Amino acid sequence: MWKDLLHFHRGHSLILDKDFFLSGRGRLDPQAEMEATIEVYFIREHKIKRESGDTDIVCIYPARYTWLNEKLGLPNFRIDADVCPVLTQWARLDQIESVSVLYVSGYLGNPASSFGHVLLNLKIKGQDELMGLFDTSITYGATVPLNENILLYVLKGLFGGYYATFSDKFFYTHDQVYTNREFRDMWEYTLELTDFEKKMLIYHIAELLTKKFRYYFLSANCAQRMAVLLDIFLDENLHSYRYPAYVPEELFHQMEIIDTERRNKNKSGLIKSIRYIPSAQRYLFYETERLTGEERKTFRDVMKSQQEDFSPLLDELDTQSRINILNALLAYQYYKLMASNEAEADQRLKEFKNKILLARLGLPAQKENPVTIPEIPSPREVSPPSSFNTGLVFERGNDPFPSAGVTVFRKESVGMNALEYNELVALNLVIGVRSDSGRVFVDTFDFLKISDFKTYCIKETKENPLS
Amino acid sequence: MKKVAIMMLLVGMMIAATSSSYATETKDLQGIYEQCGLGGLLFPRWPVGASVSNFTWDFGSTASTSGLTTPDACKGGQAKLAAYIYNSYDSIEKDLAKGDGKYLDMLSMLSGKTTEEKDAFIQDVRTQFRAIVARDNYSSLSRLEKAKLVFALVTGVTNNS
Repeated sequence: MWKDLLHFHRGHSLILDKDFFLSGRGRLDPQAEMEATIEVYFIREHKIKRESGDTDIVCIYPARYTWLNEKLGLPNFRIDADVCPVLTQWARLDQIESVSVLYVSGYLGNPASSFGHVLLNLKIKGQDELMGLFDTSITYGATVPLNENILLYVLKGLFGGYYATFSDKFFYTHDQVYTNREFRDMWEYTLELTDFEKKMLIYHIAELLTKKFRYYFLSANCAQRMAVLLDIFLDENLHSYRYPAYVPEELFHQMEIIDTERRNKNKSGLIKSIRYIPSAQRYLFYETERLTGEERKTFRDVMKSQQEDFSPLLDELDTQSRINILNALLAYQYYKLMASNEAEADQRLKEFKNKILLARLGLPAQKENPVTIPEIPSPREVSPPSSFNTGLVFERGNDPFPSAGVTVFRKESVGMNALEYNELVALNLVIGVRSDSGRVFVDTFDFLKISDFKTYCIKETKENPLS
Repeated sequence: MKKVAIMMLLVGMMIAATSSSYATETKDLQGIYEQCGLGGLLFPRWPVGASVSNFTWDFGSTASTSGLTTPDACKGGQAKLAAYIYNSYDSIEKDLAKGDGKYLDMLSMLSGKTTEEKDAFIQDVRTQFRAIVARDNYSSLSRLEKAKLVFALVTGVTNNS
């Protein structure tokens, strides 16, 4: 585990910051780093500089020292609020009930997010009703200069031109971006970890925050680093460096495999539960779907009115219907504002939204009747994104020919692996062999193929489903 | 909506936390903003409104921050409330309109209200919020300006109840 805590791979640590290591040779020599770590424990002097926060060395490397204490029994070893007040407050070990891994669905509005994203949440007890808004949420991503040229952005992302770091935020900030701004569904997989595994994971995250790794979009990305991070504390492996590419869905497939293997051996599984978090767009769709016929007609009439005073349209309806319509109208206006980018939104759109807002504020507050949203299959329920295949191809006018292909990532437009009317294929190669001449040829090659259709058409607004 | 995220990068610049000293008196949201920055408040610096999916954006400083090194004054109490209102403004606004929702429940909790006090707190905030929305210039206000008004409203209701 010591090498894993230093993120060693092929003879060196993947962490690039010199101040992660207490020995001058620490990046290349794990034993020297261990000796230096033990030595610093006893002399309590080190050169790690922080602008603020804890300064005691055990607070800066809590996972290393906890592990060493387990192995060696360090004298007077303590990590508590007296020794490490900032770490203790951040780690919230007494409040963190579990650890979860979140899959954020792919987002075709940003090439870097096409394959989805992974978050790791440290979940606070008793926050279920509040959807864990103040859970500590860990993400991993490359740091990109502002105004980066798009070509450089792609090339540097693919070939290691960026640094990447782990960073921490409260979960509500992610909920704002992914659920409400980018309309992405999420699935939260809560893991079955022992208290010691959970503590070590949290402590190690504290060691890693802000430390630089090199970023590769296809291989050393958010999913890969999260998998490697979890592997330190699991008996099994979610990731192998043999994989040429590692996309977020792969992580969840591996979790499913490990979970099944454990349960087949009558052990407790890896996955405790899965929670589906629908996007605001999906919520809007089902909120408008439940309007009555008369309410739908009024919804449409208000939408047509735009700059006019729409209050007469609502006057003849009872209070409940007015509330239902205004709630749905408001949800739709936020959707339009987000879709048009809030900062650049048309002033008329903002004014219309505020008219609806004011009308709704004039009616009584009301506990919301929960919208029933059918779950869509989680990543573990769909086919793996990468595949090898062989087959026999029949084409009209040509003789059948055998083929072999490899696909690094595929989300199709139909079937269980569907991206709901969208299609995304990356690095797909199919080679065929002519049975008569034996000639080998490339039948299909897709570097990146994207077909993007709007998933949900809000009927009342007559939106065009093609985009 | 389907524009490449690069185009969204210019949205929402923020100021990084800079000062290590912090006065203990009550500050308004502007004071907290100047001290800690928003969006980047509490935890690392990300542009508000930008697509942050798999990348973070460098504002010219190579030093990164985290919840472990953020100054205490920018982590708890008013700073936490200020950041929450600013970052979640649309969701809070929508929940206030309905008088229900998880973002409103959390606002009540951050304001120190018990379950028994929540309904009265929401009622008070909602009534005063309606007066803010009814202003002629509400549609022209920036998110920061609107967040300042709601922050003052919420702290006022909290202190007077």
